[in-house]
Amino acid sequence: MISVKRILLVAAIAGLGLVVWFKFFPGDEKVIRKQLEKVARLASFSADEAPLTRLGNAKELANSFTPDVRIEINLQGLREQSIEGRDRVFEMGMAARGAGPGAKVELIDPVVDFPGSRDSAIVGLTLKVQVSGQPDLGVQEMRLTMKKLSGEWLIQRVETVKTLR
Amino acid sequence: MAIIIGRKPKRTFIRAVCLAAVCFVVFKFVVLPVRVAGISMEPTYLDGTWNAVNSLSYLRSEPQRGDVVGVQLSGRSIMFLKRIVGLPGETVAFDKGVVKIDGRPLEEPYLRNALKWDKDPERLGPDEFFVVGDNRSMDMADHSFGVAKRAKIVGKVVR
Repeated sequence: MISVKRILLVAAIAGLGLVVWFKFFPGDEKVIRKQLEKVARLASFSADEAPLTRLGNAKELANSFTPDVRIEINLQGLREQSIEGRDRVFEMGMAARGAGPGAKVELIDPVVDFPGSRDSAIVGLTLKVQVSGQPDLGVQEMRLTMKKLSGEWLIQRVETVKTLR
Repeated sequence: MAIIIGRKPKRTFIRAVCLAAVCFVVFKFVVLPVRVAGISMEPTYLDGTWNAVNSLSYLRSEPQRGDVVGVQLSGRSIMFLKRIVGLPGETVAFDKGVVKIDGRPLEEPYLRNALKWDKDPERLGPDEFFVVGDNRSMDMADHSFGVAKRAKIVGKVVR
């Protein structure tokens, strides 16, 4: 008869094995969430950001997008805008960083869906931006299309979503 | 020490754990604490104040005109706090600052110093509500308002 202690030991080892497995081989959803956390961190900046850091972060942020990325912005009170290409994202990132006050960017409540193949994902999330020195908070619902290229999840398309139509 | 723990520490501990669990469930899933950020609902709700959204308020009934509700974005961490002025199937318009429901003006006693907003009539679908803030002393372009899907309405503000 197998003792209770032995059963508990096996269960503990199995549990530990699962924890280690998911740590080193996380699922795609977890990888995407981590990637989005990284994007938000790279998109945030302070007013006194050093020039080399600014360049490095803007470049790394741009590399989070596919080369053919398309960003469509349709905000209330503003003209509809479209940004195409990773290089353009880099230029805009550098321009924003050089514009003045810092900003803290957060990507909140991501909802990840794999509608077709596991190489493509649709992510609904909320963009939250706090510009240094300004009391108002900017929030915007967004939809991202992400693509797995060479093992890395990159943002292929960004669209603003009108929560209140 | 005896006053805090009681004569039966095990029972006290179990009660404390149960209480913590109930509080966690209630404040995480049922009564959601919200901190008001922005001026769009002034003077009813002031910027920086705290309130709560009851996610069970529409368990047995549907949202009604005049209800102040939380409208979620992609999740419940951030919500719009707005008042329902239009119900499913109705046509909503703004005419010189007055809300018109199916052509009839709506009485809004909570409004203060509203600007003369104008908006073309919009017919609401079967699962759509028209929501707007109480502070209409700002430019229409600066105010987030419009049609919210029923599925996005989290619940009613508690007070």
